Amino acid sequence: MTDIGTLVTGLMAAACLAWGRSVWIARALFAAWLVTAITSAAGAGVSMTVLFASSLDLAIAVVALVRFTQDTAKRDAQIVGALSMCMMPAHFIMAASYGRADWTLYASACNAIFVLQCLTAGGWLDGLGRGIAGIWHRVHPVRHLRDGGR
Amino acid sequence: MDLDPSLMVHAKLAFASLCGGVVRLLFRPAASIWKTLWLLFGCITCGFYGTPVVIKWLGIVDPEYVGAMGALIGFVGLSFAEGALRAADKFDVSAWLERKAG
Repeated sequence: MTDIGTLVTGLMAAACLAWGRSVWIARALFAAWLVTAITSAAGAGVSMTVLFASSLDLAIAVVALVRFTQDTAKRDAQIVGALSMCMMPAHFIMAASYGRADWTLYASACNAIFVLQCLTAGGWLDGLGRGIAGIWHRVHPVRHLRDGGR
Repeated sequence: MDLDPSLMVHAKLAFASLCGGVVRLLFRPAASIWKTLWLLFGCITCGFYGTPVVIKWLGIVDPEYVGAMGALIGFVGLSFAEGALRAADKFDVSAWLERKAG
């Protein structure tokens, strides 16, 4: 039986790879998902899963750091990297408690952050922000701009 | 697989310092990849050698705090080093000597 978290994150990673905006970040996210899915299917224990998750999060952050260093206008790379680093305390807590911390909470946080990273790398979060800003500018057009800031 | 506990403590410290360095560089990026690599190396060095000293100064005995302290030193260590270098650059040695002599 396929784990629902693995399925959702896999679909998001595949969509990000197929239609996403940040090519290298999407590749890194998909590779990280692939390694996690194989580890999970192989029946790895909690300690191995946490070790892989923390290493993969660091690897994603390093790829994002390289992209952001090459072009500081790539805010999506910066956000993806920062989100990966936000997961480090959770990995450390899980490791320090020898896996006795709440596993469901940890796995849900990992999956939620991964989905958020895919949305950011795909450019969909940015699109949503622009859509909301567009609605706002229709109600309150920006003065001195012909299109009202849309 | 049993690993040497002292090796694990050092690996944990280096990993935490690296994490601190990555966070710092994500918010204050370097100009090039090579500078990024050197700064990350500097962060690991600061965390690796600075953490035992800071822990001794602050009197922290719980080993659970070592990783957190390593990450913090990796995060802020380079900023301190940068500040110290800037202060050293600005410091006018000849003017100071003249003031002392006169």
